Amino acid sequence: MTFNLTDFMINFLYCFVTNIKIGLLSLAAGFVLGVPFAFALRHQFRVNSLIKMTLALFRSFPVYILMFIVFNKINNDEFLPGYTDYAIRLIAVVVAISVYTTAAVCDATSDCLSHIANKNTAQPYLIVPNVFRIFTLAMMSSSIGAALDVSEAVSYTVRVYESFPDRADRFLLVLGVTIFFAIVQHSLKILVLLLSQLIQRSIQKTS
Amino acid sequence: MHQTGVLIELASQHGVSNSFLESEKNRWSQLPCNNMTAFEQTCLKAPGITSDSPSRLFDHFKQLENILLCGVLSVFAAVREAEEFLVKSTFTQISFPMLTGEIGLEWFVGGIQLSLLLAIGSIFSTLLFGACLFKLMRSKSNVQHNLIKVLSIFLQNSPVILLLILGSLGSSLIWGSSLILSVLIAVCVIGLNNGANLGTSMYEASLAGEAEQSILSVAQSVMVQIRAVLINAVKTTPIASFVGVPELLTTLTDITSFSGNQFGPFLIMVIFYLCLVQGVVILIEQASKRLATYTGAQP
Repeated sequence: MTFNLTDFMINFLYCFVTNIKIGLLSLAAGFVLGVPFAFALRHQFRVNSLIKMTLALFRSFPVYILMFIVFNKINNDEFLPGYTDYAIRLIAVVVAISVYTTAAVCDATSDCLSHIANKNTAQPYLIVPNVFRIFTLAMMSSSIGAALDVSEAVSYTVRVYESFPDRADRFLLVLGVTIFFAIVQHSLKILVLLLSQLIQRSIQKTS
Repeated sequence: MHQTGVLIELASQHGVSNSFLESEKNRWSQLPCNNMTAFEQTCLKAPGITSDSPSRLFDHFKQLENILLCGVLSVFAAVREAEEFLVKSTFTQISFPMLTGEIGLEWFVGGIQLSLLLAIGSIFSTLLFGACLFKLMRSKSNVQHNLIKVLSIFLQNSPVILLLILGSLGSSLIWGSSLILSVLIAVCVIGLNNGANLGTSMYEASLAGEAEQSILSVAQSVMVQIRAVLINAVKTTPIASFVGVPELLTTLTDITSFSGNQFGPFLIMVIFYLCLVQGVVILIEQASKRLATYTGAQP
C-alpha cells in the first residue's frame, strides 16, 4: 500500500471543514436556547428554577454519553424520517455538543447583559471573544464524532491509519494529527486572548 | 479454529491478550466440544440475557451464599413486575434487561465497576500529573521549564480522543494490548490531559503569589480550576470506550443490542453519570473545606 502525504493532507483538511461545520451548528443551537435562558434569568419568571436546573443538568452531563443516547433515539424510532444515516449521525454530534454550548452561551450572554445594565459601554463587547472561545471548544469537541463514524478529521485519520500494516507508522500519523490539532487550538486560544486584550484596551481608553 | 490454535497464533502475532483464547482452546479440545456429532447442543449455545438457564455467576452464588441468590432472584422478579406495571400504566415498552437476567447483571456490574475505577483513577491521575507538571514548571533550568511548558500546551490542546488513540497505539508498540493496559492508558491519558490544565493554572497562580508558596497553598488558590478539571476528568471517562475499555457505556450498548429496548439501559446510564458527577462535586467541596482549614492552620 502506498501512502501519499499530499493526498492525505488535502482530504484531512476537507474533513476538518466538517469539524468547523459541527462547531458552527452547535454554537448556533447554543444561541437558540442560551440567549432566551439568559434573558429569562434576568427577570423574575416562574420558570427560572426550571431553567437553572436544566443548565445545571447540561453542565454535568457527559457529552459523549449524550451523543450515543441521541443517536440511538433518532436512529431507531424513525424520529427524523427522510434523513440519511450520515445526517442522523451529524445531528447526534451537534445536539450533544449543543448541551455544552447552550450553558456556555447563557453564561456569556448573562455577563453581557449585566454590563449593559450597569451602563458599561465597552465591556459588553467581551461577549465576542467569549463566543469565539465557545466555538473553538465546540469545534475541537466535534472529534468525538469519530465514535459515530462521522466524516470529520479524526474519523478520517482512523480510517487511514487502520490501512497501515506497521504500528509504528500508525503511531506517527496519529502523532502528527494530534500536533496539528494542538497547534490549531492553541492558536485560536491566543486569538481569543488578543481579542479580549484589544477590547480591554478600548475599555481603558473610554474610561 | 479454537481447537487447532490458529486464533492463539494470530493473537500472539498481533500482541493481543490470549487468556480467553487459551481457555477456549482447552474447552474445544475436550469432550463434549471435540466430538463433531455432539458439540452443537452444548458448545455452540449463545449466552442469553434471561435468567432461564443456569450460569457461572449463579453457581458462584450457590456456593457462597444461598440467601444472596434468593435476594438477586427476588430483585429480578421485582424488576419484571415493575416493567409490567410501567407497560400497563404508560403504554410504552420500558425494560431493564441488565436487572432481569444473570448475564445482563454480570455485564452491568462489570461495567459499573470499571466506570468507577476509571473515574477514581482519572481523579487521582489528574491530581498527580497536575502536581508533577507544576513542580517541573517551577524548575530553575530554562530548558526543562520550556520543555514542560511545550508538553503542557500539547496535552491541554489535543482532543482527548486523539490522545487516547495515541496512548493506545504507543502502548501496543511496546507491550501489546490487554484490558488492564487499556484501562491504565485511559487513566493516564485523561490524567495528563486534565493535569496539564491544572499544572498550568497552579503555575500561573504561584507566579502571582509569594515566591516560595507550598503546593497546598497554591492548590487552595486554584480550587475553582481544580474543581473544573476533576469534573471534566470524570465526564471524559466514557470516551475510554473508544479504545476498547468495556465500561458502562459499552456494556449497556451490548445489553441493548441483545434486548432491543434502549430506554431502560440509557436511563440507568444517565442516572449513573449524573450521580457520579454530583458525587465528585460534593467530594471536592469537602476536600476544599479541609484544605482551607489545613492551610489556614499553618504558620
